[in-house]
Amino acid sequence: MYVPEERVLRLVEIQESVLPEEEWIIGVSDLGYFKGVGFSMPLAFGEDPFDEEDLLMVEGDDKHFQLINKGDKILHPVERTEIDDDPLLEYATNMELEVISSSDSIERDGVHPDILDEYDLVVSMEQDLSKGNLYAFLPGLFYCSSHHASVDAILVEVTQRDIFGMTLPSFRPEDVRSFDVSKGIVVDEEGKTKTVEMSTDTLGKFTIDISSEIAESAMEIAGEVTSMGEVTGTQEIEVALALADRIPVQDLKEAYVSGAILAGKLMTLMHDIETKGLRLRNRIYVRNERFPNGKIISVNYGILHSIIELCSRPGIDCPQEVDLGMELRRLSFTRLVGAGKEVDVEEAILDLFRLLQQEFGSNATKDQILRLLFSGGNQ
Amino acid sequence: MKTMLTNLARTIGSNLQYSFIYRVIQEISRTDSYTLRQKVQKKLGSEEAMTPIAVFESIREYYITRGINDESIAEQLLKIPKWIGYRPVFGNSGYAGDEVFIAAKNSALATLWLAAIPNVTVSRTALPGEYREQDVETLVSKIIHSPTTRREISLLLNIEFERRGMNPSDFAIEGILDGFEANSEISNNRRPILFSLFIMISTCLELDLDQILILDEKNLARQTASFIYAKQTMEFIRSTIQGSDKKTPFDWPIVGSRKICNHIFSYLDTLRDFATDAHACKTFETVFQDQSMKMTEIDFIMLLLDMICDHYEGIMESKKGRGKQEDLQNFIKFIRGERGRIAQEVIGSDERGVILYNQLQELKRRAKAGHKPYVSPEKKYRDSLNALELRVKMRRSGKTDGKELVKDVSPVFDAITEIINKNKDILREDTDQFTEALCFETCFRILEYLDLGHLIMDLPWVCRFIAEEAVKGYTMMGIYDVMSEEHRTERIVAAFMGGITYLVLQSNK
Repeated sequence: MYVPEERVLRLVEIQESVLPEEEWIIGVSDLGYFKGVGFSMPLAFGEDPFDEEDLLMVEGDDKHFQLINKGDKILHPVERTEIDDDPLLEYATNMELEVISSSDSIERDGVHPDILDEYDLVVSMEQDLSKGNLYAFLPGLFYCSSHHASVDAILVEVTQRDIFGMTLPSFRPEDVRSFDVSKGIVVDEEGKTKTVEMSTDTLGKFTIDISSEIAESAMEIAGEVTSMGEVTGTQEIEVALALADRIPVQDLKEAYVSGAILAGKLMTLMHDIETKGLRLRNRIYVRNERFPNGKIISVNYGILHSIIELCSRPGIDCPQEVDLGMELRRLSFTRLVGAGKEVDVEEAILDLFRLLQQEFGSNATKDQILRLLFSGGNQ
Repeated sequence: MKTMLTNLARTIGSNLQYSFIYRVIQEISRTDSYTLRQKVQKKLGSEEAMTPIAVFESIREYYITRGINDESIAEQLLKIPKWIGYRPVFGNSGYAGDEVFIAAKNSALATLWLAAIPNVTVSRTALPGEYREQDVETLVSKIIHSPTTRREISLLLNIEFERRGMNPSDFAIEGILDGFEANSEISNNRRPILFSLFIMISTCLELDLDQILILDEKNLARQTASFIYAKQTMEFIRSTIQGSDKKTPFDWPIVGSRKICNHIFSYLDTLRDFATDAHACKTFETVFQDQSMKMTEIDFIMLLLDMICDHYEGIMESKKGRGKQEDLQNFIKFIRGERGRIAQEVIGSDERGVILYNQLQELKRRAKAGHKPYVSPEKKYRDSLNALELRVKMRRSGKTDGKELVKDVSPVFDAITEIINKNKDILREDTDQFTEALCFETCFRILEYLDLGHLIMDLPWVCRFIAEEAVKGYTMMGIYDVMSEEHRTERIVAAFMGGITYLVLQSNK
């Protein structure tokens, strides 16, 4: 994987299967932020690695996103809330009353299990969560094919299963690739390859005529074939041989970004950005044990809400999946760009979004996006 | 002693006379500096590009790659002076005078002479068991020892060449380091090693440089001679299986005879002896749990069976298009699948040749009777992967031909498909992921054999790119059930096979 030295936005593609029709995710991200994909370990409950000041401080030279400044008056009332202010735990207070009232009834009804008090509740939830889950994390604007929706970040829990002595990981770094190229490659009428600037016109033009050539020769050999069973594998080999013949490995990436399938994905992504604008989607893609096929989860960014509603607290929140929210809040990642420090999911997403706005402005056209994504590659 | 060397000179003369390498040698010695200058200018493009160092290197490269068929061997030969600690004396600027041309010519000539040695010193009529009597060791020790002994050899050979009326082109190897200077005094003491390295590498066997650098002169001569013997013995076994015009002992449907099998085993034993002697040679090692160790007798018998299979595959290839060769095809599959078992049976008996012959007969009968070989896919996978490793080693990966690579790699991937199909019921929804993981691991192993492990990061997307293009191809062929459920596994496996083929082929360029 290409990992840039500085902060730079690049096209990032995630696909686990080699079959082109399978689920894919494509988006814009900055792989320099975590120097690759971010990996986390959950924090122990109750530990607070985030210096309050640090969390609320926004590095500040950009105009679009200057929500909070250090020292702003509204900030000070936003204390990190105590645990019993958590909406989830609100009813616990009521339960306490119930406990009291129910203790009266012990004599009447015989002994029955005590209703958990607040502390027990927290402990039990903690136990639930303390399986030591490791997440891979990529903040950025991504489009997910199977859900037809764009999200603010990708979070995949890293687990392993062993079957027949093979280890099947839920996430492989090799499946994430960024494209550090500034040019594309197309094939002209004479069958020669040439490099071109990436633009909406040249996108998807690498349809290598190799295919039709091969198809013809393969048809000659195989005769009339109509079912896949008779010819599986032949095309892949022919394509590989033809590619090996014409395109050196260092240029293959350029051919790949000019390929039709990537063009389709890229257009979908750019269309999404163009129509919906460049703003937070308030959704993230999560894949873990509970959602093995991946799910799009709506989220709230506490830090943004804390300005409007004084009572909420910083940190990511999932209104529909409360305990997932708790799980995600506990994740911490080491930011490696600039002066390295620990960041949480929310901070990384907002950091990256800020960079996106800075680079793209709020309403970028497709060609502008393309130019930015394919500028100053390593060529 | 003297007569021994005279005999050797005679062998060299007669083997060399019509060889390709000798024609190149003659060509070089005939070319004068003026013609050479024009050639080099054409190649380098302009007068300015003709710096002494560029001229020196391009002439050496031009002649050595011309004389040596195998690119990777040629490349290694070019690098030997650097390994031993010599560097070209010529600078990067100024005018390339005649001395540059002469030095380059001398050095290229000497390299080709040394490279010819392994192929021409052993008499074609001698049997492997008699090789040692030819005393190549003495010849080698004279070549590596000192200028005086080298002159002795030159004289002897030149007389022989003259006697045969071969165009006078002197056996001159003293000029091997013309145009080079030593980095340090140590390098000068390594001259004998330098001379033997040229010979050893030309045998096309893999070697362990570290082990060679510490040898003393006597052992060096012995090692070098063993390399030559081992190489010649391999060739001898191969050509015995191949047969000549009159005798084709393994021409399907003939599967050898008792006599020939016995002979081959005696050659195989000789090969083992030579391989044990040539302990700096890595070709005859197997890797087991990351530890390399010498091949055992079983390994050698499996190697022999591989050679026999290769031979029959060649026959099958040449008969392609003339009716189905199903029995032959099955026969080859039988041998490949039961290599291990056959080797075990053979090794335990006193009459190895007879047992081997009987086994081959038995397999032929089964193949003729229409038995389909049943080998469990797991075993097939293991065997084909091992076979692939062995082939990669033997061929030394120099320049890989696409078709040939596909032929070597496809049994491995076929076996994967079979394994998956067999276990589909158990794998169920994990089938795809398992297939990908297995293919990924397999590709990683193949890349590792070829020292290309770093390419693994690119494998997934390269595979998918190929899968994408292949889908288009299939559609153009008029196949519309490309993406149907039932072919998923095949397509995943094929994508990986395509990907690895591309990466391996490209990495050789």
